[in-house]
Amino acid sequence: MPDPVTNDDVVLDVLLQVREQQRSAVSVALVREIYDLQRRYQFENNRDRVVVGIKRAVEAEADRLAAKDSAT
Amino acid sequence: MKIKRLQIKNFMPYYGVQEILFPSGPANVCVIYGDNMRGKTSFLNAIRFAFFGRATARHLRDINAIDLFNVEAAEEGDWTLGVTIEFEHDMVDYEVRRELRTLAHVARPQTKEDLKESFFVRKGGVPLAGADLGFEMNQVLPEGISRFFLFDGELLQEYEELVLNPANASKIKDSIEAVLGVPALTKGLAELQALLSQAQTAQAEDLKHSKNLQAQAERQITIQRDIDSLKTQIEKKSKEKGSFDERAVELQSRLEQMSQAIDLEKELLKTQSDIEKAGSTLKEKRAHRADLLQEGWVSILQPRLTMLRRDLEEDRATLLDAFAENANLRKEAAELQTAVVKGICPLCHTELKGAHADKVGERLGAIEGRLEFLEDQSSQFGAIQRKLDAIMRLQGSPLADRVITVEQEMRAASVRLSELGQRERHLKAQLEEYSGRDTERTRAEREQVRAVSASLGRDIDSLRMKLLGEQRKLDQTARLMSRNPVARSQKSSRLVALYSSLEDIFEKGVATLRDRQRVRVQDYASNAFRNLTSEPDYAQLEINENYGLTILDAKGRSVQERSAGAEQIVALSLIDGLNRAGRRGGPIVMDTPFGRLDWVHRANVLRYLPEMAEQVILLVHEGELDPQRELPILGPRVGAMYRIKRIGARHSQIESENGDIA
Repeated sequence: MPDPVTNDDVVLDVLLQVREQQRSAVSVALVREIYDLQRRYQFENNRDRVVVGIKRAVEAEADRLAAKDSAT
Repeated sequence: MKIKRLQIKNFMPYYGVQEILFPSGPANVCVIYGDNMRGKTSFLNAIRFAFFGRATARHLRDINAIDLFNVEAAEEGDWTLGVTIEFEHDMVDYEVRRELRTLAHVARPQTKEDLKESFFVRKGGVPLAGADLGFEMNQVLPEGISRFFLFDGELLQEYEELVLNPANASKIKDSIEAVLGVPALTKGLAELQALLSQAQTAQAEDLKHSKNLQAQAERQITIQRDIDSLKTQIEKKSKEKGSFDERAVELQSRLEQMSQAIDLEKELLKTQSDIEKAGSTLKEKRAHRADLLQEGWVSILQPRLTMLRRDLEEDRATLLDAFAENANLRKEAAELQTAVVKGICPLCHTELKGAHADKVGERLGAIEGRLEFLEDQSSQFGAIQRKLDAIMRLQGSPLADRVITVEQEMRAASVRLSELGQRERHLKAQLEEYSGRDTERTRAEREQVRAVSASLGRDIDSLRMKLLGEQRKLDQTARLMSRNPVARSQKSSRLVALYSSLEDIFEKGVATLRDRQRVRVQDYASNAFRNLTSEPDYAQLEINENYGLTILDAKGRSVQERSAGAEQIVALSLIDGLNRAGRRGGPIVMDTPFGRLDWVHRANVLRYLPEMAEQVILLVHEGELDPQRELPILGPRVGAMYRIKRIGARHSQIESENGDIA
């Protein structure tokens, strides 16, 4: 029977682990959001939805960081 | 995911509507027996067709849609085929149905353009449509990973190829990575790189108006243009290479077919010899039937023989009674003779004289007369018995029954002869096809195509190296600019920083994921291998970067020489490892999986099989899974058993174990 730890758990865990090791400024939420898009649409040929989703998420993160900077 | 029901209509050898119900629960194995060429692979293709709209032949080549129609149905004018599958996924019931039919104005389709395909999906009873339909199917059952649960002997061979010659096994390596979720990161990485590139261009455009940063921004724009140009060249050359690679596979397949021609010739000779034998058998049976029919007069005499037999049996019974009477009379006569000689009555033991003596004398005389009559009769007993034996011989086995048996044997011989005739015609047609091909020319073309592909590969590698260099330059420039306070405050610079960080995470993530998944697959495959192998010295499997597996012995030494059976066991272990590491459960459908395994390994695989997946569907022939000897190993885990029976050369019927028509 399959592993109780799903493949999706493993892939996300890898991304978060790399993020941690690199002490990246990118938030956990953004990594999760981008991976979720990739996971859901990984077998779709039409990638527009994914690209639009990534752009939206990254721009939102950039705005959030700008707001944080201007607050400090 | 659990498959509950499959309905096939006019699909390949399956004429008309046929249905199979699959078991669930602890008895999770469904065994489907079928001889070669009866439709086991077509059954697998029916599942593939329902889900993905395609059926595949060797080397994963698509079978022409026209060839999916059942020939008998098509000859009757019925150009409709369909496959419906009901299954459960995440506690929700699904139904997928795919149909093919001719367009309204087409009587007999010539190409797939003459056909109309319909695809329906119901989720929890609600029909899905448009983009939802494709998206839903990709969530439930992506085609990219389907090879790991819909697999045939060819997949096992591909795994073996991967182990023996990893350089030629890129396709299967891609499939393995798909099941392990690697494309989610590689595709993500490619998209992040493209977005980073766009963000860098936007950043350069923003900053070139700034006095201090103008030179760097312009340099960045130039590098970016070079990068874009390199990417376009790589893409173009990759496409070219892809088409040459496909052509090489096609030519390789053709060459393999040509080498099969020698085997076909041998098979043709054997078939012709079998035809001769079957012809002789039929002739013998016909002669036997003629002999039997010559005894036909016996059946006319049957009523008379029955009467005669009854009379003779009565006479024989009378004689048997007479024998018993004879014995009694002889005993009495002996007693009376003693009484006369001694002069003493045998009953009252008084002196025998006068009227009493006369009475005894009379009785003795009567007995002697009767005995004489009985002696005459007993001489007839032998003659009666001989007559009875002759009649019983004639009536022993009714002629009609014997004629029926011989006619059945004649029909079987005739069918065999017709089958062999068909096979002979088929083989001759195949050989004719091969004879028109020039092996040397094909081989030369294959070499040429491979050489062009290799040259394109080198060009691509060189362009990639250049691209890497340009990307490094771009990164340096971008980093320099981002240190500038003016640049840092720009939104475009923030986006560059974020995309750059994300690109790093995904890039390192791909390598880390591959390493981690390899370890998981290795552990699962090793566990499967220990269950499957009969060699106690083999301790585990070791995976390499191409997902090839090496057997390690108890001292950790790699085992270099492996038999064909061992290769198959390793391949099955890898499939099990991939299923456990990569899937959230679901069925495994195996077509002819025991090909080269000996009895011990088959038994090991059978014991382990029910644990490999939630549902196991085995398509086997009796030669690889003996119903008497090997099937019992699966024991109570067998939840359903079916047999694909031959009705005709182009008509197979699926019947359940108890003989019901499926």
